[in-house]
Amino acid sequence: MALSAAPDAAHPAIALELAGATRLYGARRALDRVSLAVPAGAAVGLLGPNGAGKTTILRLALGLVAPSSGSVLLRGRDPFNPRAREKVGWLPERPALPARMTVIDFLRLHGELAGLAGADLENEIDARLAEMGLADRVTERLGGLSKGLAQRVGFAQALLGSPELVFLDEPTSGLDPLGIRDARVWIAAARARGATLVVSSHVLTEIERLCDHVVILHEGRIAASGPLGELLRDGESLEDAYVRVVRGAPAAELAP
Amino acid sequence: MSRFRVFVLLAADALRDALRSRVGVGVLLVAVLLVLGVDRCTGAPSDGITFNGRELPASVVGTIFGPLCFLVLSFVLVAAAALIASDALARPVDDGSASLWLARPVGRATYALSRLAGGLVLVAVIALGVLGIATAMLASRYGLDWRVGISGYVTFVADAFVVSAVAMLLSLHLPRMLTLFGVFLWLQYVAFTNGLHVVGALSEGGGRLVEGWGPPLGTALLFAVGPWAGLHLSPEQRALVAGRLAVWAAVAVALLVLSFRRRDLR
Repeated sequence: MALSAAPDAAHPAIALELAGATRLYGARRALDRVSLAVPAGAAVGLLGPNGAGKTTILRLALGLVAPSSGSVLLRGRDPFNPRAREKVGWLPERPALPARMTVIDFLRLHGELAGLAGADLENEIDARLAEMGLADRVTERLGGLSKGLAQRVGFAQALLGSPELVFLDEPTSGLDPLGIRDARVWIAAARARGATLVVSSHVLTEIERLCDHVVILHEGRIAASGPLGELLRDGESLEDAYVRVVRGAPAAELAP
Repeated sequence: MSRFRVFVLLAADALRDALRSRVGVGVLLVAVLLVLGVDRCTGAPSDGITFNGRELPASVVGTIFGPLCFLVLSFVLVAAAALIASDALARPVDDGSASLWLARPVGRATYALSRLAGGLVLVAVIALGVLGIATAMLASRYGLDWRVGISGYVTFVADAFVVSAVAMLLSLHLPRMLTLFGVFLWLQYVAFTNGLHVVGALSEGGGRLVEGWGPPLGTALLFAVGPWAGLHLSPEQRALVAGRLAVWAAVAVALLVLSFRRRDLR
């Protein structure tokens, strides 16, 4: 993958780097010697069948689980170091929102932890609430929200504080068609302001629209990766390429 | 943002969370019942009571009943602290909501300690009310020195800290009911052993081991409210008990932080 930003201490050129990362869950190898480098400013789509290791990569990146072997660096640091997670947003596949909290309290605390304060915090929360269509839901408890609304709250918290690196795990899961359209706009806006995106999705058209790099995982390994244009053969759609890679082709693991 | 600021924000959230939980509401209800119970139990006639045919003046009743009442209340509240702590970290870890906070620039230790602190603040405030009212009643009805109640309250907070940290640590590895069962059983055993030791009735065996190496939860409380019963300790004795309690607090917190540091999160 080509680097797209000049490195400095605060803005490392590589937003996320996995070097021979393996993750075992008991005897199951969820991730097997995966090496991957996500350049700052890139939009990378993670594709693969269920259990291929997409979510495991995101969890390793955020320091929610540790690699069994190999290493992971988030913005040049160990992801378990809280400083690595500054300016990072994350939307899990099914956001487990604290049921007893209200929408506004939840976003306020996330905003503060994202480094916002005072008028900036309130303005940004107001903007996100309006953007996500949640302005009239602020006092509702998170436990009472529908799946779609919970996903919108998840988006709002992930994008608070204009993160430089955003991890999205199945971002349109649970959203209705209008919500899916809105979500594309929110993600595109984050991309437009220069955020690095790492998106895990089963929806190939979504990846095709939003990402410029693709990593196809299969059985815990990288089966193919590279810029979208290079991955597709003549006249091939991403779906064709995905089926070709996952169903038939020998593993073509690409180094960072 | 400083680590301390993050801790304060998350501890405040943990406090609100505990207050909104069924456990928190239950503890508040128990506190009200305890206050009503203390009022009823300290309502003996001002000229004393008759016990086994003997007339006991109020001043004598107070020296027995005061420490006993304070100890029972303290242990019920310490158990309440364990109840809250066993839920405070294990629940967000189990339901996955902890991951959302820990994807922010929040350290594992900061998160775990903020959850511990939130629950402790709730119990400490409730205990301030219950033990404060109990002390006021004991002082006004039996003429006991209210300042001893302050010393007892500080000791209670130390006990609650140790027990909460242990309960939170166990809750990361055991099912909740098993955690609570284990902690409650342990609390009773320690209290009983400490009590036997103070009155000089502790025989050889497991009790000696607990008394020698276990947390001096009951001993510390007995010593704190001992002056009500005429029990006065040397500074060395006090320092020894305080030191043991401090070591238990430090070890329990260190184990909690270590245990949570690299735990897989959903």
